[in-house]
Amino acid sequence: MTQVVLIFWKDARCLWRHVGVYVLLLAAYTWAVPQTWPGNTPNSFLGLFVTVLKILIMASNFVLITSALHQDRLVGETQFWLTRPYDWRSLLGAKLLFVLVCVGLPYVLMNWALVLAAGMNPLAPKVDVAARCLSYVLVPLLPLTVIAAVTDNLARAFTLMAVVLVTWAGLLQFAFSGQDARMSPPFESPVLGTLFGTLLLAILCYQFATRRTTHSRIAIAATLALFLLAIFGFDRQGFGAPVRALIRHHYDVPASGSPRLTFSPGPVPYDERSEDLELRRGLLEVKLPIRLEGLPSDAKIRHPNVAVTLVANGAHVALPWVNASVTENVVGFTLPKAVFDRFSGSGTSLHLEFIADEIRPTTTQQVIAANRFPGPLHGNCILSTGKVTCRSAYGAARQIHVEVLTHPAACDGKSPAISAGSWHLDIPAGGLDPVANETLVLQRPVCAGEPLTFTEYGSSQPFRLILDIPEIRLRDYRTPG
Amino acid sequence: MTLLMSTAPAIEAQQLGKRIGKTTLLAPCDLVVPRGAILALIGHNGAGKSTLIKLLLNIVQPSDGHASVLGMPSTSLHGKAFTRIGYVSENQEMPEWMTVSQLMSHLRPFYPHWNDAGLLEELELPPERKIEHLSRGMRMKTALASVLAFGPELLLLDEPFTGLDPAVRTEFIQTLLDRTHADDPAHATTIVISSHDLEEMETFATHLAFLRNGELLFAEPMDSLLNRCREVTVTFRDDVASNVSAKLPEGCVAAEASGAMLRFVDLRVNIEDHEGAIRALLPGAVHVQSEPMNLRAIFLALNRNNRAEERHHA
Repeated sequence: MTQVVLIFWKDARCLWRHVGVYVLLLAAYTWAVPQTWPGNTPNSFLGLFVTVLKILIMASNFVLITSALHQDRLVGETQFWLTRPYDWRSLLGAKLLFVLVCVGLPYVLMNWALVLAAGMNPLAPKVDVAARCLSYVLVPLLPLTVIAAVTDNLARAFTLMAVVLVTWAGLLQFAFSGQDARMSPPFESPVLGTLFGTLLLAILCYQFATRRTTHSRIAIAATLALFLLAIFGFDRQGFGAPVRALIRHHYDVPASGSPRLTFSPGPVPYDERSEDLELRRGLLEVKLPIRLEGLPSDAKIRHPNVAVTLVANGAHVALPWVNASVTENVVGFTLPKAVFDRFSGSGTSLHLEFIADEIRPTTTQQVIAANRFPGPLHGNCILSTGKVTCRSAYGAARQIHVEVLTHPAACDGKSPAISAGSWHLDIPAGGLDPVANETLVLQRPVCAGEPLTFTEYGSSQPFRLILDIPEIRLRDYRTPG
Repeated sequence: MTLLMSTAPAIEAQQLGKRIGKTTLLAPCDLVVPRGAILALIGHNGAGKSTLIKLLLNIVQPSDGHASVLGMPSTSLHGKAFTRIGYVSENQEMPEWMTVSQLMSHLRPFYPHWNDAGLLEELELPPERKIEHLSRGMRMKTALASVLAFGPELLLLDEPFTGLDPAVRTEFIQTLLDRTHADDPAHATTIVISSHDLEEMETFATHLAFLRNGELLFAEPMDSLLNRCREVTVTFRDDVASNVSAKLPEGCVAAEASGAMLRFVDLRVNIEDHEGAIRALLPGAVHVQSEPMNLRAIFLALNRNNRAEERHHA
């Protein structure tokens, strides 16, 4: 432990100017960002300033981590520390301590300051705080630390990082173009995060213990390849049967027989035929007149996905799980055009598996619209020119459905309470700003003093339904286009 | 190559070698250095001196063979082992931003024993000056101070005198010897030092190892080397020196013939009446003179001979 502190202290003394610049950048960001949130006067210069600050903070992260690692670099034969009684575990511990204290801690404090500036308690959503800190450690701190550990100067570290990023992005783009609609299996983030984090940590330990840089670089390349394979095989269901088995295991068929799917042959209601205009080339959308019935009246579903098996004239195609759209009378999904052309005629039988999460109300909160008032997810909302913008912190790792009931009686004194709309809060995780601002798209402006009801949905219950349609003519259900 | 041993050796290498691809940096070699010895590693630039030291310190891993250093396998040297081993090199990177005293303060807690009392004054080092602002000589003295302070059992110095003026060099050596000397050789610091400064090395090295083109040609006590190497001048009655030089036995190298005079170096002198032996070997000799050589002369003769051999092989 003494060695850890000694080496950490040495690095901190050497790099205090770097740390100071980084802290100043974070302070400037903490000052500038709240002024760009909705409710403030738009200022394009400030927006540009924040963008520049983001780039500088990321660059500063990179320079700080690389400089700290290179103070006692592992690559080379002339380093002072090689013939000193440094224990590699202590050296690694000291470097990680530096990264956490001098890079991670200011970042966490900046997050807290921004959340406070947004009028929220920075420690209220403890799980989200932990998730955000963990994701910050996984990306970018850990990869940057590994890159610094296998290079001997800033220029080489930058080059390696650029090569990794460009290769990675290129391979992802090449491998997965056109597969956006495929669903991600359960446990995707924990599995990939654990795999990626464990491998990078193992490489870091190996490099510190042995200083075999060539081996470590090969291991980095292998990790990237493995991660790519894991995404392809697991996330994109390339491994086929095992991933399907996992999905079926996670989504049980309800024993009670409810909810259930009901196919009603006949035309799809006109107002539910709208086409998904963002379909990629080679795909088309089919909307079947299938109703989801038997859900409790207050329940909603999220993350609906389907897997379809088509059989016709002895031919058989089992398609992977894809995202589905569900409306009152219709379930829609995408198909490859080639498959559609093959099975679009009569005499096709369809086996459909449907999975989704059933969510129920967990919290109902009635508030009065004002300039600033309490909102969902431990957050708050502001009312500006009839629009409600709600803030929440840390980019919720879980998705929460929020429903709003407005009571326009407060505006005109006559109208009864009506639904002003509902939407799904799917706050993007990551990014530097921990405060997510979401403007609610309501059907009409909201007045000050008007009561609003927020209903948070949670308590997710996964379920799987099976529907067999002995004969269907798919061409009757292709969306127009 | 084996040096005479008094106690368990400080260094024992067996077939230790290093290759990178097809390039041989150090051909497999044997070396034993007794405790308390001061071994001078001699050789040209690129001869393999630094590679040998780095192999012994586990800075690079061997391609062949193995070595033990203070009883520990060289490939396991790390962490705590370096509380017993010191290393100073002309190429060693230092924490440039630190002052001399900051460096000493930083290192002190890493060692079980630390005694730098009077060391900086002895080496005339400015405690508050940053290392990046020190002259080359001062940097080397700072590096030396930082290893002498913990009293290492084994000290490896790689070209420590390069670029130092004679005064600094003398001061450096004096402090080194003062701080590492012990009456009982078993308790004295073993020193391995690579250098081109042959005159200086001859004054204090007890053993010598000679490397050439990645090969360890010999390693032995300095006394033994100086005793067995003699410069021989033979005068004949007639101009036959060049004929005779071609017939010199193995061990007689760097022969130069001019008219009736033949000069060569005998590397294998092991008898008291050397001149008598030469007369017996060369019956036509009128006058024979056998003189002791200094290290520099031996080194030059060996190099001349090696170049001649290389030309011959080419």
